[in-house]
Amino acid sequence: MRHFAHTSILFCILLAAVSCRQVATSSPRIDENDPRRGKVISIEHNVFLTAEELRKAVNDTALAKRIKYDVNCYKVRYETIYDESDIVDADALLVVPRYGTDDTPRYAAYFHGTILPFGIPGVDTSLPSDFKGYTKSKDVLYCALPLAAAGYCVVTPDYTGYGPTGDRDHPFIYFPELSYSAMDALIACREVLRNQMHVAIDERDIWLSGWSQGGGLAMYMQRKLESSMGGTFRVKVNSILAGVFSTEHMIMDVFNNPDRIYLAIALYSWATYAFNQFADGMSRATDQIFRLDIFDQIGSLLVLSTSASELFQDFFIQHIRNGTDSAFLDAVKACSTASGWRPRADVYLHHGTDDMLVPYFNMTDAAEGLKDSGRIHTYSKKGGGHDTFVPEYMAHTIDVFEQYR
Amino acid sequence: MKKTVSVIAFLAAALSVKAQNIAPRDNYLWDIDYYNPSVVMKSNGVYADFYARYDINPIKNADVNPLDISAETYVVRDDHHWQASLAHDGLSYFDAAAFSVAYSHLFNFGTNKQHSFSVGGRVTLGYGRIDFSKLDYGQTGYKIMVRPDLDLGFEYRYKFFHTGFAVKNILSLPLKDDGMTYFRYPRAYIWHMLFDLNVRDKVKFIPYFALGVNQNIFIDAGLGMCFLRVCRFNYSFHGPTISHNFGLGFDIAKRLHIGAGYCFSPTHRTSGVTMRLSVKIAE
Repeated sequence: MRHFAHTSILFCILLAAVSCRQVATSSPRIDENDPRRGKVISIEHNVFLTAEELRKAVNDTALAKRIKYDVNCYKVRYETIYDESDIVDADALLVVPRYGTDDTPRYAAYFHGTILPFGIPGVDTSLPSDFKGYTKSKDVLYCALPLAAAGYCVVTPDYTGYGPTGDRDHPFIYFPELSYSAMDALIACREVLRNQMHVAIDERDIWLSGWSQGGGLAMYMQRKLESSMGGTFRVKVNSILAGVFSTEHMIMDVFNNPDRIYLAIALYSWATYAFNQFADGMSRATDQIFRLDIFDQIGSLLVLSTSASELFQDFFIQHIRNGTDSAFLDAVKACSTASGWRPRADVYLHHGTDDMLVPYFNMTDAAEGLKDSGRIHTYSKKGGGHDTFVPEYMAHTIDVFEQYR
Repeated sequence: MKKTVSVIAFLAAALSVKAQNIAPRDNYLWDIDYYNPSVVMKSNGVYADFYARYDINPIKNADVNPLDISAETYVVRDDHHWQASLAHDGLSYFDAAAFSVAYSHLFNFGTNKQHSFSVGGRVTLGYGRIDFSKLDYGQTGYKIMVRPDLDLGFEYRYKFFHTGFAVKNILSLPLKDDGMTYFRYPRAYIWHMLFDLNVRDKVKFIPYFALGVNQNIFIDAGLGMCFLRVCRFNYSFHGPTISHNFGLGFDIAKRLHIGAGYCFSPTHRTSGVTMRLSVKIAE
């Protein structure tokens, strides 16, 4: 009986502690015009590559033919905004061609595709800014480097959620947040080129490109630069491979077919997690979204479920389907660039008809939704997948860019 | 038996306890009986176990209580094993309490009874309360529901080798409102194996492995050790949350065991500490 007494006392103490609740705190919002944005922190020279070395590395005849310049690669660290609550450091790869005296330097951005936030054998997770001469990254090898070697100073931001902010969430396909680190990389590297390296790029002209998530970001950046931030840069032309434009169509396709098997459901899971973390009016407890125990972005990716009904709470799905989850639907809409605006610069869209990761309808929706602008040019690759014609895309991009020099 | 009943009644009446019904327990010692009701890891006696777990990083964005408490009582008599527990789940929008009773029976056979086989079942009565005001859909009020559930399992032993299979939350009934499911414990299928190795009766090693499937696939793998029958250490790895669990416990009196555990996931940035008190009430 004495044991009962002792354990009863212990339990009373523990029960009293139950009343202590943990309350989340939020940081104050950072002004979007904060002067620290785009401030250069450091520049590190990574590697010098000759044009001949690059031609051998890309191992693609069409792309090799367009490589003309030796290049220097740098890691540029700069300040940017994170989740509208912090100023943080971020990194970008800056590739600068070794121009001749008669050449006119030009400034381009290449926005890379998805990089998993953890290592998996056989999957390249290296960051663009860490490139020091060898990479398996198609983003760097087939896109950023050849574009630079064709005569463009190319900036490729790593984005937040990697490098200095590797301990934080990456805003996966949540373009309003992604655009902060992208914009600040453009500003920081322009500063480096013009005032530190004395490369005579135009102060405003920018050539845009990107693949997959980066393709969606390139489109979003064009919309942003041609509207609210029109004075910062002037988009000359935009060339995109397999971009995420029709976010509403993609997300609603999954939620309207909750029992359908999606091979890329983990990416939808990650995107939903990111929307919840970064979008205004969300930040919900993850147990109100997922049926699984998901505590962070890695948990949202490490799912073996195959359908929305296995992964997401039924009430979350139903409120999206009947239109009553306005915060989530607004977040999805904010990322959609396939309609509702009018591009002023020409946009070249490339997409494989058999793309299993970013469905082909992203391109057709954008072509239809933006056709009134007369600026959309589409290139379909019959039977092409998500990553099966990257060198071909970049070779065409270089040709397109030359028309707008 | 009278004492047993009084222990169960005491627990049922007095305790507010917590346990994720299928979530892995990162306690400092592995509790496979939580997954599989046929498993008996204790010697003859009557026991009461109490747990307190503090989540250092609880559910993301949730205003939740970081402290969970749970309690269980066991009665082990030769081939018979009873267990009763009261549990509470603290989600951000949902409160659930579950009272469960389990029974397992051990069958010995073969020369010198080297083989044994146990079967067990657990009946759970769950109470749930949805707090609509915690959700983002402009609703208010509560809804209370009661749902039964059932776990079944078996285990085979040969000398130091154990293996078993269980199905947890067989009914997996949904808690619905207005045609929407707000909660359900997922049905899970769990297979386990372990080796119970004694070295001169002074050191015990228990390597173990469990593989489960619910909406996801999860594994538990680790090593339990017991030194001189008074000190216990445990390490386990849990996937896919990639969490590491460490535990250390001591018999501080003839019938009293106390221990502490720490779990963390370097990738998921979650961590927690667990305290456990185990009392042997009667032989």
